[in-house]
Amino acid sequence: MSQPDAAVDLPALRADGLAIGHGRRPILEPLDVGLPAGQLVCLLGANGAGKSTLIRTLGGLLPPLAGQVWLGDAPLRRLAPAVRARRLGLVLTERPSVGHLTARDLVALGRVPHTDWSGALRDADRRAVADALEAVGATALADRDVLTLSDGERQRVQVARALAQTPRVLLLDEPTAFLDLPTRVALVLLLRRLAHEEGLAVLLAVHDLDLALRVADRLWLIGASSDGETASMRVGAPEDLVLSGAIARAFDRGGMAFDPYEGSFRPPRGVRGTARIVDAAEADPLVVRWTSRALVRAGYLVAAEADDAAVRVWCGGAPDGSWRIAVGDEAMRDAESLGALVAAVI
Amino acid sequence: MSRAGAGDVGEAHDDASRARRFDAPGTRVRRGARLALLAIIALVLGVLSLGWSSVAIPPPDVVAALVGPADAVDASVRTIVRDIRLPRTLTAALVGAALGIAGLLMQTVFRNALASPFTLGVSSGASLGVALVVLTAPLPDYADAPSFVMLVDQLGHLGTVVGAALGAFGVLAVMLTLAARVRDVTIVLLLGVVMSSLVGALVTVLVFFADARRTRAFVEWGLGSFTQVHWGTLPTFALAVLVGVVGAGALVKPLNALLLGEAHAESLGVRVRASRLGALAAASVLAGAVVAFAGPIGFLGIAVPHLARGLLRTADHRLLVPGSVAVGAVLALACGLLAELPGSSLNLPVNAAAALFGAPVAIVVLLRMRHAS
Repeated sequence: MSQPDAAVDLPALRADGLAIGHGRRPILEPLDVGLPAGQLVCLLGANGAGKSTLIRTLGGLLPPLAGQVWLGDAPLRRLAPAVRARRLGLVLTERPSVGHLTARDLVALGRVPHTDWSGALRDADRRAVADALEAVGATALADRDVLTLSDGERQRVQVARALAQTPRVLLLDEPTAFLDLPTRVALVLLLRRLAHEEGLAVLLAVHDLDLALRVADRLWLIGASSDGETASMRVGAPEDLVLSGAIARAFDRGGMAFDPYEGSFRPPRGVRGTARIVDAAEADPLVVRWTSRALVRAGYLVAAEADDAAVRVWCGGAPDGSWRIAVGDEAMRDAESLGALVAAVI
Repeated sequence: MSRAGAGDVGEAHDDASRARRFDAPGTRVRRGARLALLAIIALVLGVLSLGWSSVAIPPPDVVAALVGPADAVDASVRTIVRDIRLPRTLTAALVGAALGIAGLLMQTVFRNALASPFTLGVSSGASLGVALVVLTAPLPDYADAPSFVMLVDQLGHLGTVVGAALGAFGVLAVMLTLAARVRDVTIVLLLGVVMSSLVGALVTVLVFFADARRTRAFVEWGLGSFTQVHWGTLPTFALAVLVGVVGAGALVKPLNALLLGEAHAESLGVRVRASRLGALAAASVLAGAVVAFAGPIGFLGIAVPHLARGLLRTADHRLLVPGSVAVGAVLALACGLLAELPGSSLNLPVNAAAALFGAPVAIVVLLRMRHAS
């Protein structure tokens, strides 16, 4: 946290000795961390690690057990609720429950902190709603009933609602949880664009480690708590946290292991022995790579130099260009697909 | 995003036209027209129900009796229309409006499409309040078989309303606590049924031990009726309904925000606890007033808000509050007409008529809920 950018600019949102939790005991070591403007920060941690609690405390929905949250230069708890809502937007997992609510109506609720007692919209409010819909690419959805939207569309509309509040800080709790992969990537890229182009400070709690490692400007990583010890949060660039082993420590459990080379999880390997791809340099690298993945999935440790490998594979070794396999001292076999190869070596 | 707002003339023009195109063309006009149409239907039904009863009076005579000079119609017709049927008709309209708003408030606060005074046991709570007041309060000796009207007259309408509203609020508070623990809307509804039976059992116990002369009146009241209110009691009833409706009107903005869920509403700067308390207090006054003056009338509270949303095609409480008042009045007047069984001197219980209208709506909503989950 000693990068020059953080020292020059006051962070848009800052935790100062912040202890969070629902009961008396804080679930994390006190936090001193800033959320800088113009950056997408991903909040990572195993289930139950306290991501939602942190988001809700930073958003002013939960009182801190100790310490203070600063929104710009003002203490969050001292701000009137409407003033806070004009500077900070939250997207949570709650869904609207009634019909006849259009996407535009939903986004217009983002103007609640700006309007009079009845919530009547003026021209400036309507412009803000139209702009917010446009910013998330949901203008075409404006007249749709929210109940008919897909999960991804609804989350985009919720982001537009938060944008209509015209906040400087955007906090999102698992908005990608139920989305398929392309929709998830699209939403995260949208948030990154809002951070980079609109200068918003965005904190996104996510499950998807792989995606977070690829797009986040910075990670907040809640570690696993060990017996008797309160968990703590590490902050840094994704790559630094991988190299320091912090990611692996936070997530390793139950047979799955973090592979720092891949930046993702893999099953424990080497259960069945070692495998070797023979003459790998002469084959198509893409084919070699996925052959290697198939062998790993089947439970083999893939090593290039193992002379005593239990399984040897030639990519393109068979006459028709498919795979040739030798298991131990048995005769060579051909496999026409990687599926057949895995079946042959298990 | 042109959030900075500093643009040249072209951009300003573009912004303005975008703001004007905000609603689909004609939406506002259409909604206004539908509200006006509902008001007209309510008026027509009102005139019909003034004339359509055991002694039929043609609509022109009804209008003459209402607004014409004293000698425009027969004196007895004038008395029937003005002193007997008018309070009854106004009561029906007020009951419908009150139950519609109470249902709307409860559906939004509980985030449950089938929440209503009837389904969550709130009407039973109000009945218990009424029973406590009516069955246990001291009574003078003169009455050998007092009607419910006489009992209420004796005890003061305000006392009955306050008892009913407190009973309603008690059940609402319990239900809200339970609903916070179980997120599943279906289970909350089942809990409402259980709560209804429980509170109903308490009422039965009270009736069992009460003075026999009073119990008959109480049981008749339990069937629901628009005929218990007269000019002497109407102002109290109307005032209670007005208080509840104005309360709902004052809360339209937080109610709209609550459509997103409580945490989202709070993140928008809404004071959720206070708004929720206000909405439930308003619902209690409305449900309590209806129960105190017309008996526990079911189903209108569920059906009215759904019909209002469907007719006005909106979830916006700024429209749904007047919409529910209008739809509620129309539906209750229709129920009243049905209950009168024109041409005969028989009166159906209003509850039966209300169920005939309301139950189909509830069934449709239930089936849709199943699709959604």
